[in-house]
Amino acid sequence: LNYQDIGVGICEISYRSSQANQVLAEAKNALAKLLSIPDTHEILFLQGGGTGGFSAVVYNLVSVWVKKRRRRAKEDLTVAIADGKEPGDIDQLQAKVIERLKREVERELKVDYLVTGSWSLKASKEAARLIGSSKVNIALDARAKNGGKLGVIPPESEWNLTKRKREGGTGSALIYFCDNETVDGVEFPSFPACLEAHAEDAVDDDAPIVVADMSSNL
Amino acid sequence: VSKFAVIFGGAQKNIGNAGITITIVKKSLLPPVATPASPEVLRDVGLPVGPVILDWPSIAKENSLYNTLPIFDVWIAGQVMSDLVQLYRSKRVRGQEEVSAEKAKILYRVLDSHSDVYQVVPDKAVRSRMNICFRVHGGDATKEKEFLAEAEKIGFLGLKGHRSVGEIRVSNSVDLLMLTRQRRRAGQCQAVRKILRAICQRRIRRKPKLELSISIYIRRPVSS
Repeated sequence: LNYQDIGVGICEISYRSSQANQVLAEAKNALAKLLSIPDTHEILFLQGGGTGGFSAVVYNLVSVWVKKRRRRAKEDLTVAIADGKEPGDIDQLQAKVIERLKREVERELKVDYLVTGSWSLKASKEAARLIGSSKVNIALDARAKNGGKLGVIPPESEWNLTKRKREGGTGSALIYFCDNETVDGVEFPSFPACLEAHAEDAVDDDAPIVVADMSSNL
Repeated sequence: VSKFAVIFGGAQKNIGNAGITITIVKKSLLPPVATPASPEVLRDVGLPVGPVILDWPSIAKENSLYNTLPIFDVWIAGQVMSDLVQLYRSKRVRGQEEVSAEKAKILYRVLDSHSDVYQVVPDKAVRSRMNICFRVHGGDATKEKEFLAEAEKIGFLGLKGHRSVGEIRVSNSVDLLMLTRQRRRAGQCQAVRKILRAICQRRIRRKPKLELSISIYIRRPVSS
């Protein structure tokens, strides 16, 4: 009610004031320290809860995927048109890029979900709602291996992840899991080995894009 | 953290109160390294364009202040986390993890030693340290109701599982603190209590609303 003796309360100060900025900076610092967050990562404060996060993950990472594919399509087609391998001229480049992009979105855009509980299930449903269930690969449905009930995490060898490029696939725009499922009391005991990135992944941008909901065990 | 492209979490479970979602994003997925596809392109290929308040690049560009951020919620989270940093020092979050693991161990041990009465729901290898879900007498509705009523009598509140599954659920936070008397080690709880106390104390010095709004402009210090 009298924040730092400035005469107004913390709920009254402007979110753009220096005090608010300081509150934000301190929270960021504490989180970075607590979780030893490396400089390669950015900390954002959003709203909309974990459920908002379900949607944000899909919107943002699908967008990044599309942009990458667009850039490659543009490069490929520019060269192909110049070499005469692709009919038409450079004026039609934009339309051709979109045409190819549409095809790739249709056939190759995949998001992978490991469903181990109610929250990851909800997240996968949100992905299906936003971009269509044909693009959502349920790489693991823990219920299938447990008589329709949650409560287990089957071994990684039984997961059905979208194949990476070096495995002859097209890779996934994201691989999602909920580290701790509050409703079902299921938690991943450690980071899944098959989602580790390796040095050779740098070639062809093949490292898995791993997303975790850690609302309950951050 | 480095293994993840994105980690997100609502603050209400362990860090503060509901209202903010902490999102940790690999910088290589944000501008200038990665730029998002333009809304036009997304529309052209039949994909949805998300609301700007969920757009990480927009939020990152404005240091999380693109739209009004509930600063009080950020402040609470900041207090809790700073307190944890101070409490566990170089151990950092590992320190909290040890406490949580210990508390979960105590509970599972008790449940397992009375397996004729209590049945833990998930498989042993993937038991959560945060939410201990179990059934009483195999899910006997009357017995579970009785268990919850008795628990409430001795001060254990909120043990009823999620509405979608029933069950009994102990969440590894305040519930267990009462049981194990680890109040001193429970950094989060202490921080929240400290904050609540601070609010109570300041309420006494509360000034009329009108004066408070005037002081926004003149930044007049409040005499104590």
